[in-house]
Amino acid sequence: MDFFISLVIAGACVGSVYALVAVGLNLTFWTTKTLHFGQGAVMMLSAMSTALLVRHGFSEIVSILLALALVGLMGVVVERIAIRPALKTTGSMGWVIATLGFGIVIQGITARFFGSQAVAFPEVLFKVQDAVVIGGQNVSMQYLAVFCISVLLIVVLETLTRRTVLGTAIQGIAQDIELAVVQGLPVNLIVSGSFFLSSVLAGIAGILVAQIGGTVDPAFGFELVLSGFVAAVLGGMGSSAGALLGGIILGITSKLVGGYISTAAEHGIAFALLVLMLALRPQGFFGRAEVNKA
Amino acid sequence: MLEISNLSVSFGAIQAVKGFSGVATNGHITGILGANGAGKSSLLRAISGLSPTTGGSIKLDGRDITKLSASERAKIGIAHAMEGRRLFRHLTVAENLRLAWSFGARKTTLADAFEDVFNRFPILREKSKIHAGLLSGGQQQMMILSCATMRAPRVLLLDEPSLGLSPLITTQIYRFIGEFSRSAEVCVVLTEQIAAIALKVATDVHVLRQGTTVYTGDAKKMVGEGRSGELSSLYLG
Amino acid sequence: MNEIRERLTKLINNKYAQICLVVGLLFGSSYMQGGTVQILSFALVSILFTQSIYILTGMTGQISLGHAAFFGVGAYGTAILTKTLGLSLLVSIPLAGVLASLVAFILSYPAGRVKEVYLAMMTLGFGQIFLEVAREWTSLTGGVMGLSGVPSASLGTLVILGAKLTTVDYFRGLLLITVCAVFFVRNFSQSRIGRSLFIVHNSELAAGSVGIERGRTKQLAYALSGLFAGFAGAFYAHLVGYLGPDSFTVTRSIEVLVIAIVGGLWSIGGQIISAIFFTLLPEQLQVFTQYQFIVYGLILTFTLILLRQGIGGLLFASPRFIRPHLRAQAKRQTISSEFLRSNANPTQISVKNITMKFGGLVAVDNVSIDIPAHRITALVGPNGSGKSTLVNLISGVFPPTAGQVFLNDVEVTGRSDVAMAKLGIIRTFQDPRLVPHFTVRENILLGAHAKMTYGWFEAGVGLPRASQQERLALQQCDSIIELLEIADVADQAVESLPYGYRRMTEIGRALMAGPKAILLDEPAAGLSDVEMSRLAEVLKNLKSFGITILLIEHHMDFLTDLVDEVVVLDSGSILFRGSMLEMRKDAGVITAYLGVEGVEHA
Repeated sequence: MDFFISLVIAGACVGSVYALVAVGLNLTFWTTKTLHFGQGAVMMLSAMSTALLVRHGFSEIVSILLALALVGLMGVVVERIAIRPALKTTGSMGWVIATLGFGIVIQGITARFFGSQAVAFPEVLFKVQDAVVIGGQNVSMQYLAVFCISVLLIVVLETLTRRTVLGTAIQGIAQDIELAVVQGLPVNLIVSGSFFLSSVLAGIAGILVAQIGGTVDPAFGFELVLSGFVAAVLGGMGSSAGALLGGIILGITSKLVGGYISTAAEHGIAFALLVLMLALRPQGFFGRAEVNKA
Repeated sequence: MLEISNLSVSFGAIQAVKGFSGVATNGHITGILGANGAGKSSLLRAISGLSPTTGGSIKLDGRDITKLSASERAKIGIAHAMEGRRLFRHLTVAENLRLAWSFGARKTTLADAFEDVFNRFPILREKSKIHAGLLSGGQQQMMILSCATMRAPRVLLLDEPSLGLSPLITTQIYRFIGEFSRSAEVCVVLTEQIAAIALKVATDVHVLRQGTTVYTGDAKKMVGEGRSGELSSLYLG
Repeated sequence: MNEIRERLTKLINNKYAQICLVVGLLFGSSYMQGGTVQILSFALVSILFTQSIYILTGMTGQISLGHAAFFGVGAYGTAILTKTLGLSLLVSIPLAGVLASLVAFILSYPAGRVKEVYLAMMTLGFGQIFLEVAREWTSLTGGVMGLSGVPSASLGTLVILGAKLTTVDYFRGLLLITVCAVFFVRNFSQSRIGRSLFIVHNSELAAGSVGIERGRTKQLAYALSGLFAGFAGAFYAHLVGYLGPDSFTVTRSIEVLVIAIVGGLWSIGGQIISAIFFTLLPEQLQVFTQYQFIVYGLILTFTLILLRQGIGGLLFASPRFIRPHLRAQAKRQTISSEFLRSNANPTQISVKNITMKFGGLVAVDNVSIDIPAHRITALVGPNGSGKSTLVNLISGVFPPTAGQVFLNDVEVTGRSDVAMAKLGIIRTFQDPRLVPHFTVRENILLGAHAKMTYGWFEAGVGLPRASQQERLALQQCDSIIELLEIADVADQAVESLPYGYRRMTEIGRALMAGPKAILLDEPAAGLSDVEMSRLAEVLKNLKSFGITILLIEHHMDFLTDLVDEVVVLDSGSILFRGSMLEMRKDAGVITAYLGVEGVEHA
């Protein structure tokens, strides 16, 4: 029973990070119907930069802020140079490949200059051993902190989208971009902003995962994007609450499968859930039935 | 004042509008009539900047705006209610209105703007928390018009405002359009397939056929001289 | 520049040049260094692998980020079959290919139902799954340690039918097989099935309108793609002698994608050059391996944007999708357009009490009409009156909410658009839906898809039955092009032609399908006066052939002197039915168009 609970907790925690990634993906999907396929590299960059900045003597807070600013900027850049031109010239497939390429370039540059070795991630949130006892279970403080931070960010984002004019504007752009233009909404600005925010969220997710895992290496982040995407699809592209639910379900299911069946199957779960959801209910739990089906 | 000079619009290789010229003045309504495919919507889209033009010019109060993007034109006060009752269906009425006000000229406070709308169309007050997509056609049109006018525009473009609406609602809507055009410093350009309605409120009309202007003139004269028979042949061949 | 392209294209297509190259390599390989032979073998494997992307991504437009999985299935498949079961290569390699094909076929079920980003993610995930299976199923695949001792020429362990093969022997065999494969794919791309892959990608509705089964077509594309990838993987396995899961990561999937894109997604020749280039490059430039990732990434990011057609587009003329020699043969004999004459009974389309509701909106309200054979009927009405919906209902795009559709007393309610097309009901669209880079001729030829019966294998190998059917179709195509008077642009890509020609091309495609009834959606829109009168002539011709014709139109002048009867719809119901003359005088119609006042003064 203890084993079961520890898996569930670990699953919920890592699932909340998937949800965070998913929410970031939702943002750009809303405004441009595109995603940054190289998002994994962004996460890696953020975690790597933080680790290296700390090693060079910057304070942890400053390192994190600088790293996030960097990746946020990269997000704006990728929209400008990869996505916008691709949408204009090649329609559907171009931006997938272009953003993928962008991510690979970042990965390549990082590997070239910092080597492919894993880099230890500093203990920003508590220490690995810090634990708290909840209901007789030993729960790692790091896990708890990661979970709380993720959920908090998601709630903040949800509030922003539902309660502010900016959020309403984003929803409007998602529904009918031409109408938004004609109504005077600053579409270009909002699109760039959504990419900035999306990358920052991914950057935070990268830092959180690196914290739990303890290390970062250039190949890090790839599976995280996939999991984030699956979480988004499960929940329904465009729903933050859905993303949270989807992420947690994915996280818990993976960990349980990993613990009771095999670790290999753990990775395959994401794919299996994706196929299942797209086959049975393409709009996810909370999405509207407007999914891009063939 | 809106001056259009020899404007042409093409989609790929179809010439949707061929050399349109016309003037819309403040306080008056200009009607663009014609059957389906005549080029009416294309003309409005060219004015608001959604469709690129292949010739001619558009001037707003003397300033050439032909090269401005749609975003920029919206900013300088061109409001376009597109055909098909376009609105943000999954946002509430209040959210739709709020967006319109937030990114417009803001000549009044938000509260006052809302009050204006609700006083004129009380049903919208009732439905303010309902998703716009769930309103009836007439209610949607009221909301769309309110959004467009709330932005305190200098040019109001209305694409087939009466489409699919009952005569009663149509009258209500047109009364509002008439009042608005007289009360504010705005020129109104509207298109209709059903000529009769537009002829009642418009000052001057242009009739389009396959992109070409086949008739330009004073609306009252057209009705008065019983030229609707001619109009019929312009539509039906 | 175009001249150089034409010459280069002629050169690589020249039979003698091709034979010289292959024979040269066959003999020359004895004199090459061992290392060179190995590298060339790798290049051949890469060419084979890239062909699989050509089929799935280039032709069918399905993006795959996990193709290494099929490659891997082929590789591990043959390795296990030879090592553990002791089968001969002659059996294990084909089996491995078939296995990979099967896996791809299975994947096509979920994958064929999604598009774009969802598809990309799904294939990515699939690739990951394969990797995990390879890593964990140690008993089968050797797990992370991999599978060593795979029969390989370089290790001297490759034995076929008792004879030991050297690396040069292996290279020669691989060369011949690759050459055959490339020709197979080329022939396939120039067949009815190859062409159908393109239209299924470009417009599913258009594909359905001429009877092309979309789902099955995609499944075939996946299966064939898997087959080639599997073969490539199998040959790879016997080239290296050792397999580890690290050879089948997403890197390999991306690599082959880069090669295909740089080569030009639609260009077989370009992709061959690209494959050779990317195989040789790491050998020549040590620097390249260091910056490999960065270079790949940059290429991926910008190539599609900057150099859409890749090397192929740069060096060669646009690829064509009709076999040139069949075209030449077809030209020698012309046939008249009489073949369009409806052989079976003339068909009357009837709808009874048909209603279509979309949520709460009633688009078509209890409409009953007979559209008789040997007549041209027009469907007119203001915006939103239900005309397009009615045509969609008749052509099977969606089933009615209520009511029935009949063809000559046989009920066909609810049948799909593909089924209706096969019954001879062919339609065109308001906006012509063609394959933009296909020529007029290639687009029109798509219409004959459902009338021809030869399969993908016959196509690839070039069997007589396939050639015969293509020739006939080409002759019919020529006569239709004559009928429509568009011969002067027949071999130009439609995307470069003015609207009127595109409209005519779509009508040509409809005719090619051998229609019993033709439904045209605003055919006159965007046509010049000359084109309009030509169209009117064509329609009158078709009427005399016994084909039932229904037109949606707004252009009243076009309809005058053309239509036998006009049906006016308004708000989903029939307002009027009669001649054009009577329509113009009908009070109800005038009111619908002009409003009440219009009637008072009319």
